Amino acid sequence: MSTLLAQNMSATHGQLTAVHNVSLSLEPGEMLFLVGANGAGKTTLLRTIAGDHVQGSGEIMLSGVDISDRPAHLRARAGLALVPEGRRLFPDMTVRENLMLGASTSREGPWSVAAIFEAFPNLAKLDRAMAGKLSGGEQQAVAIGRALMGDPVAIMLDEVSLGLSPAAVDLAYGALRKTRDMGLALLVVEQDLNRAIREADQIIVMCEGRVALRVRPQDTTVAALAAASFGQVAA
Amino acid sequence: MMGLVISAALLGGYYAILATGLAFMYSVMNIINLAHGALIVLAAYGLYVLGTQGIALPVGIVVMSVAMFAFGMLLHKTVLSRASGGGELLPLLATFGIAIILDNLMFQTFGADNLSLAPFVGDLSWASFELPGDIFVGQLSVYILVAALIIIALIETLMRRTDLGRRIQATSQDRATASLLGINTGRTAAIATGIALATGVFAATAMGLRSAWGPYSGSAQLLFAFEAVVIGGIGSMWRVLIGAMILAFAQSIGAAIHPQGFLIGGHLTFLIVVFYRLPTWRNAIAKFRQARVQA
Repeated sequence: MSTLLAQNMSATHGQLTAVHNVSLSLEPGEMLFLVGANGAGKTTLLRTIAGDHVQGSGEIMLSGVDISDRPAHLRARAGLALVPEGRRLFPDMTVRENLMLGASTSREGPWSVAAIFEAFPNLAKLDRAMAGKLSGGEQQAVAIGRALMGDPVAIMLDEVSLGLSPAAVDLAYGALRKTRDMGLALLVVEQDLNRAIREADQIIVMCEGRVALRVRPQDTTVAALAAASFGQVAA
Repeated sequence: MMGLVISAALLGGYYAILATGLAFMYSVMNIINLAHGALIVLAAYGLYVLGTQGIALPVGIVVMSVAMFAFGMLLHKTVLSRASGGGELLPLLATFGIAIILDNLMFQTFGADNLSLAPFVGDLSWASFELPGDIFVGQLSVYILVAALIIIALIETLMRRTDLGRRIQATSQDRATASLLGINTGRTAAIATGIALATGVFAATAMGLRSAWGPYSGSAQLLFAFEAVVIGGIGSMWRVLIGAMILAFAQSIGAAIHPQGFLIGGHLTFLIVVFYRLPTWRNAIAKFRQARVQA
């Protein structure tokens, strides 16, 4: 049974159809990379699945349960987490307070503030620091930690590496690999195609709201992914 | 002189208790609740009715707090949540409308008589403490100040130390992200409204014990509460206390200068603070200072 199954998803921004009939499926412990140019509809797709954007059509199953008609907070409580673009931490709250807010899903699971500090040792000393004062990499770690605090079965991450130093990106992906090994399903939006080929179990390329290419990383190249991003189907 | 300082501080305590609910509602939901005064008066009528049924005032306060909490949740679900989706002006108009409806409903139900809660507390309304130097302070005013401090401390603790408080803050700062974390933002905002209205019951008790009120007393309570909140500024509930104290001292100093100066002193202070907060005025002051330094 798929952890996350989204079928025929559509969403609009006013009159513009931003996401057009996109389907995807994630098994436990699988990492799916969603790539594509700016404006391809990746963020809108993630927000629609999370319930943060009005869903035009489509069906979302989480661990076999239909959550299509649920509002965002009930999707989160069902075990679906979104790490949004720009992290969206609460800047005037401490790292600990931000993490504790993640537990608002009231789900059972292995994660606690102590467990997050173990997974991200660089956060432990920032326990009482204001989230708004952290570096980009530290903020991303808090955002991932906050999602984990909800003990989700699937996490969607938007623009994981945007604005981060290479070292911070490595750290973030190190943590993501660990959560994948714990059996979580990960849906990652990423601009770095090399990273996608290195880390992914499946890759979906989106172009103008549609799926342009759906491949396994071992069957493709950076050039083919880039071409698909701009609507050219590789031979 | 000492008497003036003490009485101003005690008056400040009263303004703080009036203003707490208003400030809480603004800081967590960005709603300026123009029905705040009318809701306080409504709670006072509730306390009065319970009192005439022979229910002791402390019990009445508990009953009314629960009732106003429920009424706050209802008010949020039926009116405020819809109004706050429509921009900044709509909640103002909606709460203004609620105030008018409440004022007139209370006039129709209870008539124009001025009522007081003082008969329900025996001699507390005129009892006093004697301080060294032949200064007498009303016990009631002291209790009101203490109550204001306790309520503000409780709200601060709730907001900073509890899960519910963090969820209220998260909801007020970024509603979309809060719901992505599994927070039921509608319910959280309704609870916050309920808390704001429940604190109004303590304001109603203070008002009803200090003075007599009528069905249209709400706007006077709202005015002083509003001035205290604006003078203090938002960010922490303790700023409300500071604002209330500044307002009370300004009024008392005004009254000491001239018999008619009580209200003028308060309003003038309010205007000075408002003008100082306006960015254009601040910039003008900064430029003036710069020009003087250069000259």
